[in-house]
Amino acid sequence: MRLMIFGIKSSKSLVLGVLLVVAGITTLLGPGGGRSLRGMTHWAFAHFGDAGMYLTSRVKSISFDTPALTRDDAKNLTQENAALKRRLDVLESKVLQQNRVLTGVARGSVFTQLFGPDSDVPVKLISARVVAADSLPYGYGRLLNAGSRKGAKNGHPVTTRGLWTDRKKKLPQKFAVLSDSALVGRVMETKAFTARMYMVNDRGFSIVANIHRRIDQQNPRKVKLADRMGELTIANNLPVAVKACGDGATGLIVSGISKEYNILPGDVLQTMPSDAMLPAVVEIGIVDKVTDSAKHPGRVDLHIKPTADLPSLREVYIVVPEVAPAAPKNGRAK
Amino acid sequence: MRWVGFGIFAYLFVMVQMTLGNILTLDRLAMGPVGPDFLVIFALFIAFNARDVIDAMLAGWVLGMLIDLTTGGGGSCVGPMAILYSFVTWGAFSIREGIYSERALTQVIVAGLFCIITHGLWITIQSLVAFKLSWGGYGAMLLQVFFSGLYTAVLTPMVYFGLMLFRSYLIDSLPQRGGGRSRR
Repeated sequence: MRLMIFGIKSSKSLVLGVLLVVAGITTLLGPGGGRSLRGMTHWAFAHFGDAGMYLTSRVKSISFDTPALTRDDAKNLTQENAALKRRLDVLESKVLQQNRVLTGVARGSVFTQLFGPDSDVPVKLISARVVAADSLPYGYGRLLNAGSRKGAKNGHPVTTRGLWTDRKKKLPQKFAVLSDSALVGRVMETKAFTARMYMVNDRGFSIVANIHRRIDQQNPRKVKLADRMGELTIANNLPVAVKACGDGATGLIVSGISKEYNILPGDVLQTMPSDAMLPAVVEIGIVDKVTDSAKHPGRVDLHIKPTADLPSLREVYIVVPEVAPAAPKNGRAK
Repeated sequence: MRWVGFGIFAYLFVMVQMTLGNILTLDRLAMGPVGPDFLVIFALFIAFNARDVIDAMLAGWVLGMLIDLTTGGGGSCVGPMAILYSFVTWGAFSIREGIYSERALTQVIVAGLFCIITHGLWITIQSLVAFKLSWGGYGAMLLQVFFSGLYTAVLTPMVYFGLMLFRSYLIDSLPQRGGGRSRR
């Protein structure tokens, strides 16, 4: 079969040759060129992936790790739930009483300013949904249905949607407690209506964050203080700054940490409040394993398990930092 | 080749791969996720049924490019899978006369090899051009490739059989003797 293209007599072989050369050139453009090319085709896949991803996240949210409950376990849990519900009712009534005192007695006073709710984090939250995943299972990219038209840009952090309230009334739209969310990734490709994020366990992801060591009264731990070894207490428990990278499998890895910090499984990896992109303490993951570092003798590697359930991820917030610390009009983060 | 039908099926396959295909992905393994590649099976179907090797290679290029454009994790570059799919489709087309391509066992073996070769070379090219991988990380990814190849191979007969039902929408029917020329 022969075709005429731009006055040149063309054949399928010639078309194939041209296409192979094009593919070779785009390969040599590297990851930067790849991001631009992928961004141009987001629209073709974003619109029809929603239903499929809904089903996928529903199925993935079923945990296969949990062992089956016995009849006794179920009975104990039911009793425990009932007891907790009673305690919750008591606490709710106490909160209501305190609210009455705060709002009715000392409204607008210095007392309210001192003991009232925290000021908002200077960020805007863009709600988005995961509408498609990567084709190949070697990366953790996710396509989101919100893009630059809503204010998302490359580098913006993405969190789960955390919500916590003691109020039994309708909440304002996009009300969220950022500190109750978990960091799940970062936007790396942005187009008008779509964005692609790399999740925290993707090989391309890295972040400078803090390790917060838990204090267990039963098992106190020794750490290096300024010039001596001493017991870790609330007063001297400073966060440990680390660089965490996605391991391309189940979580993140922090390499070459000094043993003197005595980081143990159960400690928490959190974002730095001084981070301009996400000026709040948001949990990323929990230290799952501490192993001797192969690359750095005498030091340890930390294996971090993400807090969020990444395979079933569906509803997220893209966090857009605001320069001036002002409360967003249609969103609120505490 | 019936390119309109092929285009529709290619789009459907890539959408399934990006969404519902994730249900089948085993993503809690220590070595990393392992999942099937449905587009390998589609490319194999085209290679075993196309009437012209150039058609098969063009179809392979399109399917490979779709994978490249829908895989962004790790900061991968676009293009290598299009080239690899083209050449491996050519390879599958070339050997089809020498094997029993209608047999499920043959399809399983060829699909597994197809997947392992394309994905293995893709990982190698990406680690040279885009990924920053240690030797250990590269080895772990090759292990993922191997098991993904096995997984794809196991699913091949079922998907291949499903595609056979729509063969007439994808592949030109064989011409009648005489090639349609009028006889005198």
